[in-house]
Amino acid sequence: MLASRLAHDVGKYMARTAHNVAADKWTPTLAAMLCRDLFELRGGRASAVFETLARPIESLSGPQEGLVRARAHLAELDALEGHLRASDAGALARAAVLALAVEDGLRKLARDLGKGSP
Amino acid sequence: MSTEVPKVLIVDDANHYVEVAHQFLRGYRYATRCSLPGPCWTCPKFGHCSLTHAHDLGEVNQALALHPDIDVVLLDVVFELPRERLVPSGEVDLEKRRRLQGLAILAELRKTHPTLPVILMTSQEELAYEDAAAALSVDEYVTLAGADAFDARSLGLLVERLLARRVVGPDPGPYHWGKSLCMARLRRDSQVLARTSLPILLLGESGTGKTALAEKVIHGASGRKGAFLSVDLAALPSTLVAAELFGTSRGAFSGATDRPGRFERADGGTLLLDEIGNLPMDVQRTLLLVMESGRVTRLGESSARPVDVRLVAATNADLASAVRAGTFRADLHSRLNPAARLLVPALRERIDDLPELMSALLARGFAAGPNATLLADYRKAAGLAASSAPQLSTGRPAAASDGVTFSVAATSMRDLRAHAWPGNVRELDHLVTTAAVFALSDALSGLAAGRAHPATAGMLPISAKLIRELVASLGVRAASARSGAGAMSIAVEPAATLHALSRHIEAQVFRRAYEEVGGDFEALAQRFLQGDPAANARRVRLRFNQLGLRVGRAPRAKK
Repeated sequence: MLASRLAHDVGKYMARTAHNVAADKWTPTLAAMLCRDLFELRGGRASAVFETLARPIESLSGPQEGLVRARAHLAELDALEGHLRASDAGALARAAVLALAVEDGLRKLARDLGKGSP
Repeated sequence: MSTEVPKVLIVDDANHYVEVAHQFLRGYRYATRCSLPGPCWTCPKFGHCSLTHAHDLGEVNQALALHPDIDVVLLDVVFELPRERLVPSGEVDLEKRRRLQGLAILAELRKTHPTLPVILMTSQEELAYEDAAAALSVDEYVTLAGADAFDARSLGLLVERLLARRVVGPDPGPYHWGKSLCMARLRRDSQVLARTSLPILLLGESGTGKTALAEKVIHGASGRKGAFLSVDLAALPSTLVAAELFGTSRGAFSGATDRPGRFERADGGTLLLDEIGNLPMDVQRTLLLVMESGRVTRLGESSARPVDVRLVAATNADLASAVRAGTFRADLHSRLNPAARLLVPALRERIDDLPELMSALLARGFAAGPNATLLADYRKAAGLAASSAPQLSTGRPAAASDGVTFSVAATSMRDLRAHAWPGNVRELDHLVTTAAVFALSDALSGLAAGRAHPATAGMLPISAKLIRELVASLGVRAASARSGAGAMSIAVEPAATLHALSRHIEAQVFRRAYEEVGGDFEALAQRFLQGDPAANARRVRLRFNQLGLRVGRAPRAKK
């Protein structure tokens, strides 16, 4: 259940804008939307919401490779924040890739842990 | 549906979806709660306005009142709202209510707008832990955006698919779908495929209703003006199949006349080739040519005639295996569009639909013919005024009404659910009709003997013992068919419906057996039913009469 919630509350929402923008089509409006996805989710930054939901999963199910990978991606995204807010084209393209990777990974984790798991 | 640009209502407690829609889906109109003309992205308040969409059920109703021409609703599932803004519920867990608020809004929406298309902005995975996905899947007007919830292109395609489905209009024919998940899928897929020009392959066990699906749904929804024709290829001698399908000209062979085949007769309509796996190899090639060219050549003729026929093929055989075994052409198999095949589920896979199916079969079985006459006799004897279709009550005693209500006990329903139903709906049809006929017969006897209480008029219980006997006899018949014991040769001719076909077969079985036992109904009962032959003889005789057979026509067998 927690894994499903993680996929929904973090993965789904942080990939919202990334799903729709080709690598070279970023505008300031879209960059602002992406920043809201990554740093202004309900509950705070995506990385913070992730930690809140991921820790109980790790304490119940042990270390999960999917969580480790997602944490690394989120850390990289946090490091890119300044460049993203400045609409840096390279950073935006990289952030979109990372956001989609986190979403994919968390959905896969939710499927793997399955119904009845934490 | 409006005739202009489709109008979309977004229901989301936050701005996630409305921002995506306003950025990437500008080909639609949006149902706002604002009186200003749209679109929102041209408004000075764009990005700072909360009237762009609905945030809770109250605002949904507000938007629906302002926009009666909404075409599609995009509905979020998780709503982080204060308790007072949630749909009232008996659920005490506030978090759970929030996480399933979209479903609660959907349920309320269905009360006032039962057919309004809704796209739930979530996936099966996200709903799975709440066990809510199955509940949603039976609502054919709901689709899940899944992993593409925020992908505008995929979302646009979903919207278009829902709108296209809505153009189909109401259900085209009386087909009993039930409420099971597998039937909901079949309904959705068959109605979509019906509107294409592709051949359709129906797969399913015997008796599942493939012919009815082809006629009532696929042909009904296709909008084709021509006739619906069905050919059972298993019932035709292989030497006659080509002539039957493609027609003949005078002199084609000895005794041949100028006669159109089924393809010509179905021109402008739909042709069902039932048991397509039985098609002889040489005819398979000709069928392939007809399908590819849209032209048919009668046997003995050299010029082809154009035909416009929607082809539906049905089988309970594994065609892929037949292709591998070399008994079915791979190119014909491909042409039958196996990728878009429709799987008609066995009755045991939709056993929860049993009560609804029984009711429907009962109403149909007593709509005309000898059964209707018997029912009318009972109504007259019982002094019942209403002539409505008989009702079925399952699991509890029938409530009094001015019509006829058969009731099946809960224990009987358990027996029926436990049965494997190898003959599927057709087998159920026979059982229900037979049981009801016996119940009517018993009631008529009671009335004639003056034993029926006026207060019970119209309430006809079907005894648990009778159901057990009938179910047991189905098992015996299945075993008998498998072992070959009591085998008899039956002449099968194509009939207008499967019901008529099965009735024809049943009449032959009764007639043959009646002749073999020299008109002795006790002996006939012994052959057909378990239990006391003397007691069963009356039931067998009643069914004998109901099948239109007459006592005395058969010569007594030599002792």
